[in-house]
Amino acid sequence: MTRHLPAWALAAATSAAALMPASLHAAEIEWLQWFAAENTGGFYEELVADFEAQHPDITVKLVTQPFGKVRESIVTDNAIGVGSDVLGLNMPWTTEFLEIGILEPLDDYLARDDNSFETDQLVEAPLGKIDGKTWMVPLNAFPFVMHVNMGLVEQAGFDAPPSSWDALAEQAAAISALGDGTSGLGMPFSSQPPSNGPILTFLPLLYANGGRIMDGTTPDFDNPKVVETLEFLQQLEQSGALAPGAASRTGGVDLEEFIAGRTGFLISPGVHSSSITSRNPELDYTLVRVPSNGAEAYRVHGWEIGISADSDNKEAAWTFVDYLLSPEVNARVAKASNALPGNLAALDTVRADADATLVKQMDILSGDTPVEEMRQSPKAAASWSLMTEELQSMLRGDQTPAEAASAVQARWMDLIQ
Amino acid sequence: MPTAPVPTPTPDKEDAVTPSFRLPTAAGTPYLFLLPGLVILGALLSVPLYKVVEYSLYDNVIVERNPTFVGLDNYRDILGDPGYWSAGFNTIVFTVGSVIGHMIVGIGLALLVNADIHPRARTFFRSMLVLPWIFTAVVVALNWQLLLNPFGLLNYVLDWLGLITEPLDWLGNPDLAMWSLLVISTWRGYPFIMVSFLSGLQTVPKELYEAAEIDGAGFWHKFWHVTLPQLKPVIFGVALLDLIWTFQLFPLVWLTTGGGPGRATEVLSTLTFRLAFVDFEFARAATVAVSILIISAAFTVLYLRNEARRL
Amino acid sequence: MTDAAAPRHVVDEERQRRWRQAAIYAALALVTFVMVFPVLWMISVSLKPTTETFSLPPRLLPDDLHWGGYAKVLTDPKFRTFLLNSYLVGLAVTGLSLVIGTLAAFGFSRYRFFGDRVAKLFVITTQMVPTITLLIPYFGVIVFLGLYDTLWGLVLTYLTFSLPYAIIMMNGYLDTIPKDFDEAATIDGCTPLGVLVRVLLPVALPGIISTAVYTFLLAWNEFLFALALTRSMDMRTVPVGISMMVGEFGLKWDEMMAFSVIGSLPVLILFMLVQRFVVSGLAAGGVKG
Repeated sequence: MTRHLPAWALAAATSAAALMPASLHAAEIEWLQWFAAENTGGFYEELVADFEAQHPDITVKLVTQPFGKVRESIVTDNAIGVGSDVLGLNMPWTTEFLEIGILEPLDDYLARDDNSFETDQLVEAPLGKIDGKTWMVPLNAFPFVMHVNMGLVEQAGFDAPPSSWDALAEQAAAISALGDGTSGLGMPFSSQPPSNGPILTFLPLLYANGGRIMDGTTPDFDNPKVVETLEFLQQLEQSGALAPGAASRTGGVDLEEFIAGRTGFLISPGVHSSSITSRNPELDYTLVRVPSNGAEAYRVHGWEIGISADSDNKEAAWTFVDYLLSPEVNARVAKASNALPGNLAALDTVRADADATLVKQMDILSGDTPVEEMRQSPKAAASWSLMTEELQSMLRGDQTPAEAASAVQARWMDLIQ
Repeated sequence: MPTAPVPTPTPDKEDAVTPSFRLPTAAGTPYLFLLPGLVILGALLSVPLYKVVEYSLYDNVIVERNPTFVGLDNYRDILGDPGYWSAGFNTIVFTVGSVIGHMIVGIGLALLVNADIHPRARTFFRSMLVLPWIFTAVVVALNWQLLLNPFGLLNYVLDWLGLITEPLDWLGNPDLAMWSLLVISTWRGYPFIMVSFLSGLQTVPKELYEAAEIDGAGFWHKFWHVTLPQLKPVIFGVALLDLIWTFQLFPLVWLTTGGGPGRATEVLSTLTFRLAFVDFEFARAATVAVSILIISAAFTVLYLRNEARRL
Repeated sequence: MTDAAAPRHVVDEERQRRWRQAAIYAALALVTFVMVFPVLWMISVSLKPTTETFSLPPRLLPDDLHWGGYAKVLTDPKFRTFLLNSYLVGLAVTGLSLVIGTLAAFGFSRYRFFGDRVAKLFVITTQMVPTITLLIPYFGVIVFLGLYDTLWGLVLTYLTFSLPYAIIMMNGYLDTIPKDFDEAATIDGCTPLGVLVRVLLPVALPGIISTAVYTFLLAWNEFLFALALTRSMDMRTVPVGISMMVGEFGLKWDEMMAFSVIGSLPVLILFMLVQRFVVSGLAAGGVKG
């Protein structure tokens, strides 16, 4: 932690380092993450204890933050010089964090011979190089899917979930027409933080349409595929297929209404299947690939791991990361969250006692292309928040899909200047 | 009983202006009273306050390795940004609306729970009415989102009463969002005014009311001519603090609407947060913060001037 | 209570008084119901499985009360730690703010001195910068002082938020007390501090209570600094604990509301206990309806 900090803060950082036992034993590392707060019931505490038993020279302190604050915490801690050694990350933060210099490049570590995993077995998306380097590795992966309330689908007169856009539009409108507060599909476009609804629902549809929004690290939003996908959303809205109140609908409400049996379809990470089945076992539930308009690609999301550039214990930190990625441990991590493993070598172990929905995710996704573009955006959080605003305005009827696309593009260009 | 010689109040120049009684001033007495408070505030806050002002003069801080001094460039950018002005306008609407809401509901309820009723009932009502204050902002925000949801209770009740034909999106409709937010803010903020005003009411000398009653004064007359003038110091203090806080109120707005839909409820504090932690533009965030400081300081100077006139 | 009323109008006045009482009770009941309703809804959410929170039509009470949220919160020891931390921090902040704030308020209220306006302006200025922008530099100060990840760090932090309030408000309350009181006490031989403690404070008790309520709730509700300045689970407070229930993949509505309700009960009881002191001082009764 040298650079850009005033003298008093440096003094603060040094004295803090002196106070912390970490620097005395040189092998206490901190792991900042939100995973232990995500319904995993003590799993991560046990995992850390297991690691410490295997590596008596290293202790790991679990620092758990609420998900909504992790991104801010990492930046704030880093500015003061008290950043944790190992960081739980989300892919969209990559470029933003690079510009601040928070992350340690992992290429040299990944190239080592004595790693417990094969780099080419890891889920590829988070490894993709930015600025010529790799910055994070996947702990696990959550492909985006479409959750289906079969009860509502059948009530509306259909016998199979939709696999194309046309079928989705038809079924969703028919489900909304059932009345009693049911809707076909939700678009969680609330501005309430994190205000990221479009990356949850719009991007998966766009990828299933073969579209993209970035050209390298440059925004490319006003292209025909994007406009076509926005037109599809508008068509859904005009046919009444969407749940009312998109502009105040949060991702949380979107999920809860589906679990309560009030929406026919929910586009979200596959990992939601465990919340759905455990909380409402009565629901006649299945999950399918996000309906396609020609392309077989899905948005991939996951929990990533990185090492802080300012860490004093990078070796110990890597030892821990290496432990997390070993097939055996990685399989346990994936199972604890009912997710797919970040190390695909663990896939068979996970499959062995996976539940039906997880097996279905593996089957659905075995051949499709994973996409994650927000990681290339220099201002990811600001970008999706602007996208949210423009899509709200479009669904309200204040602008056409083409206007919305160029408005987003213009504002994104402003943002990165 | 005390026989110690009474120290004569040291006459100073201000005594001519305010002829009331003055406590004896040993050398430094008032400073000793102020010392602990000022030391704590000074030690902990002067550096951060200075830093915020300093940040606003650099191109970008915290995320930038070598920030460059840019003078007042950030101020020029911010003042030329229509987003700043619309957030400023929303802030005024939100602040004035909230403070009026807090004052009317808070003072009204304070008078009501101060009425001459059974002490147990009084305890019950006072305690119930303070409830909106004792929950943390995230719970308040989420609870109101549930109530105001298109399928939430409010729409359900309005529909049942036949007042609406289709659900209103209270927090998602740009024409309604600010009003909804004002209702939430009033609900959340009135207990502070109620409790402060209620305490103030107890210090009004009873004789003043008795004298007014002898003159045949009714409830309103007593309220306007006895209560309010007597409680001016309390009301002014409360109103000033409420104004300053509401002017930069952050968690409630951010967690309830996130400044949306669009930027319909974006206020200066949410803009500051957006610049700092969404956009990572800490220097510009500091610039907006300093602009808030300047505006608040203007209120305060007005308040202090007013107070000086009163004393 | 019962004055020996003049015999002539006893009946009339009594009837009128009863009507007025009835009207006051009716108004209070109505207003209280409206204001408390959102809280009733929170309790309702805490007693429903999440699927019912979002079911239609909305209902205040489910068929079967669901105690799962309460069970979870009451059995997990980490929630007890959060509660204990919040109460400790809240009480420490309240005590310190009252003592330090009242002394300063006394100085401002009873003396004119060189620099008084500037001092007061400084006190208020510390409240004018949005706390979010102070967060990072302030974080540096706390780390510098070695108070990072300690409850004392939080106590000091909230003290800087609450002191200006305590000073301004206590100043206001003290200003409402006539200076004749000081004069009489001084003639009786009280020192200035004696005037404050023996004469002014008893009269200003209602103001002290409301200041105490405010400072406690400020510490009780604060989230941003509580999150940034602590990192061990042992040092976390209730708002941080609650925000942990808002996960990336779903929100534990029942647990969140159950924890809020449980955590707030002692606060409510505390308020019930202290609010009786809000009728005292100079004029119990105040404005008669």
